[in-house]
Amino acid sequence: MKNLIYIVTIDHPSSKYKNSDYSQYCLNTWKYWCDMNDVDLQVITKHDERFGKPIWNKELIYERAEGYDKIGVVDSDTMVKWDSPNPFDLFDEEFCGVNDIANMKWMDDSIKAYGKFFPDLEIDYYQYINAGVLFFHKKHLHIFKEILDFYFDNQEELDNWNKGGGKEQTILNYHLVKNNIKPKLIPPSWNLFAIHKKEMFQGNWQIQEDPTPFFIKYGNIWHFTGISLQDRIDLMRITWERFRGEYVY
Amino acid sequence: MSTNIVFTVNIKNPDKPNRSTPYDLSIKSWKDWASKNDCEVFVLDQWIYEEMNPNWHKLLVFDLLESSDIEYDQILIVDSDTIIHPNAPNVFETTDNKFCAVHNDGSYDWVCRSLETYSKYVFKDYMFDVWEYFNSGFMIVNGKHKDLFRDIRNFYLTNSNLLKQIQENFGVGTDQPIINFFVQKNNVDLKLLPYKWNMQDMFRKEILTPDFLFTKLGWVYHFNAIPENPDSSKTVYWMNKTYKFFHISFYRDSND
Repeated sequence: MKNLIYIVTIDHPSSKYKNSDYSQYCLNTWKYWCDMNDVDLQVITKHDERFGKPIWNKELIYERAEGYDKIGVVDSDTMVKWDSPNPFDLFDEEFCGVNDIANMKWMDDSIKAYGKFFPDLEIDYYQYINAGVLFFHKKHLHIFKEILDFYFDNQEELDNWNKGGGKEQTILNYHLVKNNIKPKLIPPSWNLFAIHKKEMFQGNWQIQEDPTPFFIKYGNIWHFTGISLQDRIDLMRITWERFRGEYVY
Repeated sequence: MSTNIVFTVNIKNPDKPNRSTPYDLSIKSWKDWASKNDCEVFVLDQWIYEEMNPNWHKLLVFDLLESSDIEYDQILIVDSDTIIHPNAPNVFETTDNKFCAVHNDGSYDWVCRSLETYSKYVFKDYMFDVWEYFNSGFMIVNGKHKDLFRDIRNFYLTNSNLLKQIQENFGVGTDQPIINFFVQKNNVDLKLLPYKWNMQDMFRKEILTPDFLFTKLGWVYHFNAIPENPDSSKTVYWMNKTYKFFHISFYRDSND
């Protein structure tokens, strides 16, 4: 069994901040975890000039994961806990993700906005997954090719998209529905997004014996979303500086 | 003949008689739904134990039904600050005859402190998965869980001083953490239902909005955890508005 973690981290002029300003901390953790768990890590730093935005490089996983049995695609604003269990043990041939209902207004708006491309499809809100951490069997790789084809078919509109609702996440969810793939929902610990909204950046301020922040204690993969880019850089840096001592060989 | 029961506690506070009005709307909504889904609503509106807060009274559900000679199949125990959509499907058909509840998805600062506090001071460092911690405002049980509820009630009666102290010092929940710990410690077969069956903390999810977006996203609306909510005034406001919204949209049509 050969498994892969795939991360896209590209510094691109379309963003005011460099992706590497925060992805350096992401990569520190994933490199360590992959080494310790005998999982290959593929880091994409070179932009494919066919795309308007770097995010679409994620979809190239379909041609870059040849020879692997199970694949994890994780965003560059994630960090994995040093002793996280192995997510590849969670599934056999399913497509796994975490239900994203942190901001249901955003989700609803996004589904409606992108729904114009998929007039005959309906997304179940409680099967809607966050695209920042995905684990799946190789048999699902074709989904990403389909998304890429969809992107090229609608490139001008998608590159200039100003209706909100994110970029590829809702499109991925529509393609899952289109292919009758019901995702296997895994617990939020595997993609702990909206940490500030969950109020997990703090530790237990009443029982002060252990000041470890809740997200560290109860999460396996921390996803620094829903905050400003500067806050993301600062929080990922602080997290790395505080816990780097755990990532020792 | 046994039937499915919706059980709710609505013990009125004589000092604040108006406070109960929206909770009456909750009961009305559940009665409307129950009439369409072949079940009965049982409301406890009197104190049984004077020293026991109303929220603990839900633990008496089995005794109350049996002393009232009511035969039951499954029981949905629901808080009185909820309203159900009039067209919600029959949730009893989704249970697989298990203990069902909805994960408490809201402030994890509160959830984690609740878990850690009760673990340390009450349950001798026993811990369980935070992602299985459920909100006790919506639970479905059946006869298999009668002993569980008896044990929790006895535990409360034996340890009420300790539990009151914890509540005074830490403020991290009353019946909810205890029920969670008992379910986990006793390896009760727990089925977590989707959020749509107990839509807690809707403000945090940015759906408690004047366009009633929440009514399009699920079935049971739990008007808790609303910020800046002195004397539950916003709970009252939203329950009134929601009931009226449904009354205009659904009940009136069905009564014509």
